[in-house]
Amino acid sequence: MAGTAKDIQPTKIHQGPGDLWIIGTPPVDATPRLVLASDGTPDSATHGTCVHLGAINDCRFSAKPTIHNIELDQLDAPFDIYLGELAAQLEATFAQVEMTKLSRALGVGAYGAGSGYKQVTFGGLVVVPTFCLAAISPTKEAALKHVVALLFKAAAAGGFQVIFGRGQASLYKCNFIALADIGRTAGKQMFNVYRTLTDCAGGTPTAKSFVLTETQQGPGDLWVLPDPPSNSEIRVTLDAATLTPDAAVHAGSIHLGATVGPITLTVKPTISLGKIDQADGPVYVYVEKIEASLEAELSQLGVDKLQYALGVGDYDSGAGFEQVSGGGVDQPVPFCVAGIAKKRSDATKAIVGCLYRVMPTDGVEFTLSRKSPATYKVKFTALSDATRTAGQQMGVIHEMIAV
Amino acid sequence: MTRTYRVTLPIQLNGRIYNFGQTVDLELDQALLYAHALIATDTQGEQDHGRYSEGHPAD
Repeated sequence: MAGTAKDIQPTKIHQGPGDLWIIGTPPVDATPRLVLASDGTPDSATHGTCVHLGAINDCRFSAKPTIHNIELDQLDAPFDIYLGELAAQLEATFAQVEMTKLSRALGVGAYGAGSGYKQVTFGGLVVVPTFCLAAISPTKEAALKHVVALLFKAAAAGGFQVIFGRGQASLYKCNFIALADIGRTAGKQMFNVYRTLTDCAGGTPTAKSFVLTETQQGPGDLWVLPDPPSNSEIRVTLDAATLTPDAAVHAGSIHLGATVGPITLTVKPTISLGKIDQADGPVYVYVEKIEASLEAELSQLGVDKLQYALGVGDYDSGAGFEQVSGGGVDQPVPFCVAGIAKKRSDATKAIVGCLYRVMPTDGVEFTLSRKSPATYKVKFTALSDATRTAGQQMGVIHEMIAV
Repeated sequence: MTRTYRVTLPIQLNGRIYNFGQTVDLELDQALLYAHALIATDTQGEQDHGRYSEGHPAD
């Protein structure tokens, strides 16, 4: 008798980084694979305008079926199985705090650009963009052969979280959920994971957007703006020299003092997945809600600052005192907050996250101790401002760019 | 000369927000600012299950 050969091939063990791409023209149903140009990027002649999603720290593909057992009381184990759902996604940690990429991560944010600025506004858009998404990774044995994970129709589902802090770079996790494209052939409606066995050659390469100066790190400042950006201004107007709120445009702006640790801006939509019994994957997506917040740990126990952290306090000051008293006021007054940070790569320019109408949601708590300062955490959660244009009802993140 | 583009990612232009799936007529210089979010629709049209064909603003 002869044995059977084992299949152990270290060359097929994959290790190495990948790039994420939005594919302008997805591969057709009959050949559901990308045509790669000679440098391993999507062939723009075949796939049109493809968009590179920049520097990433990791990239993960997952596909998870939900299998239902069919059981009978007369049998010890299920006698058969049936597929309930199939969930697939691509996740990555993005490193470039750049507005087109934040816009892509959010999906329901509106990107805008003009002289000296780029911005993403959010709040009020409900149509979730869908697109074809690919992760492309060269093999360790041959740089012109690749492992590719392809979602034919995907939607951004995770939003973004940007930090302004000294302690770590502002990397943000993004995830993209695969939808079932029921116009495609059954069996290949959601994704395709494959290896190429021949070297990519020819074609028209697509440029990557790999801009390391767009990785952000460095402290920010938290401001209350009694005079917020208007519906037409949208952005916080900064004094060019100090990169603080312009005193004429945003009169009476209040700096919330020294912070401990980073300022965190979170914009996270909750995406509802539309399911039908005829498909194993979601066939549409819709926005349930968007949660946006600015968080920080404040370290100055001035009660002028404490009143904003508390939200429901009554501030007063006079000869020899300042105070925040509480109890008996039912309707707090929302206000506008902004986090402003200089760019790591260009200290003459800033990145700003602004929520037009917020309330602090976590109250205040501080400890009087010999061993540590009486810091207190604040979380400003955005409300919708229905008087503003849909698409910019909650806030904006904007960056100064070279004119 | 303007061309017609389909919006693939929401954009804000001249005080108006154009949502995913809408079309917008733009001059080339303005379209280049939003190249990541636009596909020209007046070159090769639509194909294959409603996905759209090539048409970069710079073409």
